[in-house]
Amino acid sequence: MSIVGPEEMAFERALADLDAGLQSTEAWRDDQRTRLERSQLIPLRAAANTFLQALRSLDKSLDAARRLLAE
Amino acid sequence: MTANADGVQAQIAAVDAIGSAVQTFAGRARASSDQARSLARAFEREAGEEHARRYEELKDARARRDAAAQVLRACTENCGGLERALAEAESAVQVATRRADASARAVAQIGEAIHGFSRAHGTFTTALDNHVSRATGSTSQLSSQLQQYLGSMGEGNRPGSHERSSVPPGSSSNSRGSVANVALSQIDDDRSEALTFDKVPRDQVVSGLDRLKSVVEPAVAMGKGSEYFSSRDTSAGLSGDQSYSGVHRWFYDSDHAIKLTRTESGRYAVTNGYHRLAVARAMGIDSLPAIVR
Repeated sequence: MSIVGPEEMAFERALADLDAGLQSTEAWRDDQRTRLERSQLIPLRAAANTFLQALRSLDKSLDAARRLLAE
Repeated sequence: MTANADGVQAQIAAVDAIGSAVQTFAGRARASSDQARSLARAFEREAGEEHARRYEELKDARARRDAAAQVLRACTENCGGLERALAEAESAVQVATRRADASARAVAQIGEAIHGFSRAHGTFTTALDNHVSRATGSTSQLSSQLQQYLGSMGEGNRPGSHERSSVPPGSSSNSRGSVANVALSQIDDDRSEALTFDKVPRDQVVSGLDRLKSVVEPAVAMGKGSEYFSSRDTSAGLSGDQSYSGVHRWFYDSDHAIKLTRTESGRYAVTNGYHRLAVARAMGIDSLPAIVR
């Protein structure tokens, strides 16, 4: 099991639940929703995606370091 | 703004659901990102300690090799055994050197990875703080405006009372009772004996409550039922108790839902659901769907 793998999975689940939560409200779509999406929700989702990449990269680096320690 | 009260109610539910989904995500994202950083730092400490041990082993191996070389230099005859001992000591130095080099590279790699991750963590938490506080501020303001508008239509305000009926299409509502959202502050669920989590592990309850609050409850408020959750499960590849359908059943099906009885004081006694209520309180959740009799 990788070192931060469980946290990576927890973050992915939280992100999937956020997406599902937002999709479940798709019936409400007007100018206010569009403004909210453009100003907050889309940037939040983008920041979360970037952070998820950082989390994956950390996981890979720590795994490589663990392999070095096993030498 | 929508012309009829039902439309406004649905819009309020959607706005509240977005606020709730964003807030729940923020809490879970912070917890997992902080935990990842803390695990990485713990690993960095362990690797540093391992490297210090290996460096000591290398120093010992070098000292043994130097001692063997000194003894060999003083030897004048029958020195074969001493030569073999020196060769073994030299070989041990080489092994210890490789091990110490590997742990030094590991320590450097971990340090670099944590440095990069910390920067990403800082950027993300700043973005999280900004967008979440603005998004929840916007949804809260919009929800208030819509409720005022609804009040002005003469239909009455939606939330505010501690029990809000939310019998959704597709959820269980039968002669045995209907599902309502009940404030935990109104429920008396103290038990003399400690709760055990033999049947359903505590982690599973936490995860189910997370899904309830972030996806299932907002969707139910929008009128979604079991078919909707099955379709979401299919697209997300989820099944079993932790699926959206499983969580929906767990909280909205009359066989599994939390069951409460209203007491003379106007508060609620618990018939079923002590574990979910206890975990929800620990998570800071303020209301849950329940069947009230």
